[in-house]
Amino acid sequence: MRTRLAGLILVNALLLLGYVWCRLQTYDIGYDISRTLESLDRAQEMNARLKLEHTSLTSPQRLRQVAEERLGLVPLAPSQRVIVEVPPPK
Amino acid sequence: MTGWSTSMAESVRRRLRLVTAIVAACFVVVAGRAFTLAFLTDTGLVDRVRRQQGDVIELAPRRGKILDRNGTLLALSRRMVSVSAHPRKVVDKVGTARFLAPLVGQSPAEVLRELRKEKSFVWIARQVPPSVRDALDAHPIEGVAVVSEYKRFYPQGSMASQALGFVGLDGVGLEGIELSYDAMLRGKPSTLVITRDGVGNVIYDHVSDAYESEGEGLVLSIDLNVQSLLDQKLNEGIKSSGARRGWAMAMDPATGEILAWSVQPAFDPNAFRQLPAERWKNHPITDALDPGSTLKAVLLTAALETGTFNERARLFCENGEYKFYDRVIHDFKKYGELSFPQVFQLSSNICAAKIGLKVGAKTLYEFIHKFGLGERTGIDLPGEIRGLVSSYRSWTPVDLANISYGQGLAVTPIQMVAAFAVFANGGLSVQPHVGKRVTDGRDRLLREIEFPAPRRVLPAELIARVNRILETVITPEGTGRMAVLEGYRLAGKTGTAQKFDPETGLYSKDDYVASFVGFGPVDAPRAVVLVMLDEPQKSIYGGVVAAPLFRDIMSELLPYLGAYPEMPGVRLS
Repeated sequence: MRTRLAGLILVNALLLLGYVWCRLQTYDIGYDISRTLESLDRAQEMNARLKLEHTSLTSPQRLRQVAEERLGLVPLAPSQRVIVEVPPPK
Repeated sequence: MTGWSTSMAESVRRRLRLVTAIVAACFVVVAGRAFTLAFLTDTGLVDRVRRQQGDVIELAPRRGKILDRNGTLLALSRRMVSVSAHPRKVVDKVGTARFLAPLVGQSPAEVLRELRKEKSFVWIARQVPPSVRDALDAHPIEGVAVVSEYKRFYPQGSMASQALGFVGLDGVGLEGIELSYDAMLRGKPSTLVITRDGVGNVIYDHVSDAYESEGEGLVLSIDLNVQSLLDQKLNEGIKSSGARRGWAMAMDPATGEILAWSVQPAFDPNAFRQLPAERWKNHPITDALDPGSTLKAVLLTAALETGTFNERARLFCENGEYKFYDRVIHDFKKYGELSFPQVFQLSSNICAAKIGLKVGAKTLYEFIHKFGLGERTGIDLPGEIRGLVSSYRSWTPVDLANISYGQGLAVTPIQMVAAFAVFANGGLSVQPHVGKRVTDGRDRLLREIEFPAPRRVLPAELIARVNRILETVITPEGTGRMAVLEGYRLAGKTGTAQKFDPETGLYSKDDYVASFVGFGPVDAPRAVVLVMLDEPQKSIYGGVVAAPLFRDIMSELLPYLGAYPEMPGVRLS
């Protein structure tokens, strides 16, 4: 009888410990997720900033300005275009 | 020894039983109290715990991106921070101002002015970089708070700014596409359920939908390369003609998709507040102007369709001056007898008036409406007006003569583009539009935006006859000679219209609008292009100042759209 009671108490104690351990793990993982989401957020913001920078630098307006002012390029005149007729592959 | 041991053991057992009984009694009391609190009485403890540990945060959605048709970014929202203060709670106002000023890019005096206000809430700075939050996290100040907000960025600056529009500080669309698609771009807020530990750190729990909600993205029909071309050519045209401003648009006639929407001088939507509201105005849909001779294309269609005239007809153009009632109609040159096609090729006002008088007010009015003039096109931009085309019943013969060559009625530039799309489309009318498709936060297609299907307004055979005459305008003999482009067959019409002065109620003798609207290549049109210059100084004629711009635009636009000049090519053997 005593052994059974001791066994029951032990099982209950283990179950309680297991429950507490699970709760602690949940909180621990919760902290991890919070930290990961924060870094994801930072990465997304960085991504947005870089995307804006990339878009500004490759804007057609800017490229045209650089091509004309810095490199001295001009758009092709219609007479400078040569249409090359490529025969279909045999 | 045994006796002592027995009595000692008995005593220990008794004490143990007593201790066990006391401990057990305590447990029973605690368990009983816990049971009572949990099940028998409503103490609100659960709510108190939830309030202390849990929190539900409403996350404002990130506004959706706007892209051009090739996926180039036009508008993007970035998370920024705004700094607020409760001035009465800030103890060291001077020190706080000194600390905050460099962080938010203001002078200490400016910050101090806000902190000295007798208010419980003031904004110190709106939408400043997120690094400000880090600095304030490291040095918290009593009475100063930081909140996250999104800021809209337009990386292309002033390109297509009138079409794009802008949003206010609260992220609500105020103009342009940002306004017309506001609900879609803005999205819906999501809720974040969090748990806080004893010191207030957030323990992630779950989010209702996604960690961060985002409005739907929008892909426009605008092609940034075409936009850049039109912006550049139009600015050159404004500069060389001395015009006050100008508008140029390119549209795919088959679909009604706007490829470029240039209003110059433009404004930078990143700093729209620095310019007066007049500069934000989307003139191609909010301004109604006399179309001038470009309207003769409508007259030409009406004359041919009703059989009033045909291509073999000849008219006398009164040698440049025609007295009609109390008015005198003038032509640019003194024309005698002209063939019917020549009337349009050379843009004779006198003969156009004569044709209009024969066609009749009712018929001309009906054709003006068939082309959608005087009616909203339904373009997906806010603020479009109808223009002004009064009922034919009120037209006097002088009105009819004037309207025949495009004076005495007011239409918007987008209406003229849509009207010429009917010619380019073989008689089909399309609805101009800027929106193309809807995407999710990762630019994946969600759906195409649907617009009304093209509808036939005029027979294709008739339009082919009209186009043959409009093609003669862009020949060395026509008024659009400066729009001639080697290797291409283009059709269009020049326009020169006096501006109506609302102050005097009369047409101005000095201020004109010069325009050119056309399409090409005639056999398989890729684009309808309109160029308008407001109050040009060098010359008032559309054929002189607007036609060369049309040519320059078409010379780069058509090859870009895959229409190459018909020239002898090099054949690779």
